[in-house]
Amino acid sequence: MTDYNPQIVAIVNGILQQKFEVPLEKMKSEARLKEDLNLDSLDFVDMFILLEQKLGKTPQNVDFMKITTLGDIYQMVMDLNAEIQKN
Amino acid sequence: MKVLISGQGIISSLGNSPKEMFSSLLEGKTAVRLISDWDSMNGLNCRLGAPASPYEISSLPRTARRTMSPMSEMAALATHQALKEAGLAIPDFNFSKSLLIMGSTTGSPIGMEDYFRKLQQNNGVQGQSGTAFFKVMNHSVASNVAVALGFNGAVIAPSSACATSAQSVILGWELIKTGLYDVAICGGADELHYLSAAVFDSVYAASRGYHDCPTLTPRPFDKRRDGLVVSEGASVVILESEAHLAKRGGKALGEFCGGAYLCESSHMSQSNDQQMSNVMELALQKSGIKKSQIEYISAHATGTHQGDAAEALAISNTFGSQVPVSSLKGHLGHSMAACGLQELIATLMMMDEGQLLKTRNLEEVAPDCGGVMHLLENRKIKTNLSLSNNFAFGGINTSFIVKAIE
Repeated sequence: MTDYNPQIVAIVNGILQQKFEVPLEKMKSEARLKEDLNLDSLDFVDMFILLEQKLGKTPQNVDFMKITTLGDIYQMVMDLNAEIQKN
Repeated sequence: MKVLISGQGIISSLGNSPKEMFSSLLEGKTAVRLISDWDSMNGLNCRLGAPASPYEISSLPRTARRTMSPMSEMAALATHQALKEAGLAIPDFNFSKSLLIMGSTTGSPIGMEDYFRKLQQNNGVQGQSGTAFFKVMNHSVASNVAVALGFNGAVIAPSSACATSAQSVILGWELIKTGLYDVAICGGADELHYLSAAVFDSVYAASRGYHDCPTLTPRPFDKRRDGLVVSEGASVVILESEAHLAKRGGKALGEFCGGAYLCESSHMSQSNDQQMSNVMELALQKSGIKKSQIEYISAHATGTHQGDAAEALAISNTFGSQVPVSSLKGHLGHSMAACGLQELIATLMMMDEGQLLKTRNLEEVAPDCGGVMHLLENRKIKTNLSLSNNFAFGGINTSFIVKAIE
């Protein structure tokens, strides 16, 4: 079981709830983005814009095919945050 | 083969159903008001508008709403109304024989403003939403309604400014008459934005002199008219072949007898009475209706100096002074792409209710708008056949004829 940064989880969940109307109870790391949360590639673009506003940087060169669960989003944002911290 | 109207839907400045709008029209209400947000708009002389009545979009799924600007939201809601009234659901459609014909003047002006503001702020496309394009593309309304419905038939998006929904319904009629299609969802929508007001303002066609008493303008055919007032909304009707409607046991609200569109190619913005007469004549001819049968004319008359005078002359030359004429722009404002079908729906209700609506704010007929029978008051009279005009910048002239169901 992956440990996700609670702050990152809160940021992502906040965006999903406010912008994409995802019910809080559905936000589980194993939730499938398309099938369970009704999110698709159009939503990813807007999600990245909102993440950039929160974190100051947008994810680059993302392989969307590999992002299938909410946990993948948490991990991607954690990686992005680590990169920001490093620089 | 007859083409029948089986459903109608409206989001308008005076109500969000045909019944609500007609009730407001009967009472002589107007939706025109000062738009205070436009006060700071440098160079805009007309700061009047007629916003749509508040509407609720929570019934539309998020994945449909995310690519919609207000014009698409209103069009989707109006389409749902029309389909409900027609008793049609998406699984009922044979998509190979079904049309969705719907348009707007441009893609969303609200979306365009947002897009270009970000473009300038960010010195490039950084930060543009993934849904932005789907609001500003020219076929935004048609595609968004199709997605919201799950409609997989033929989608066509005419865009001819103030004649858009009139062209939509005439095109639907033509294509059903050919036998290629059974059903057409026809509509038009536009959203209120200062850019729309500015288009007319810049050519001195928008009202400027009534900011201290907004309800007194626009004044179609009136001596003291000084221009139009923009509005917003969506209007949708369902056309069906007589055979299709009969087969499914549906009920007709009226008959779409026919219509015509012709271009006035001598000028981009100025009306020409002869060409207006020509399009009315052609609409009659295509409908197989004689002039003497027309009992009411729904004029396009928006309250502009030149357009109203040209239309009055055209109607006078074509029909004389024995047919009642009115324009609804004094009540509703000018909803641009929506107005053609807005007026068709109002006209059907006039015939159904046996009440012709007056031209609001027409107090003294202008000398250059005489020669026709203006309705200065609502009139109780049973009518069965009406002609409706819609004209647009770019020389787009349209006219169509509708018949009451007896």
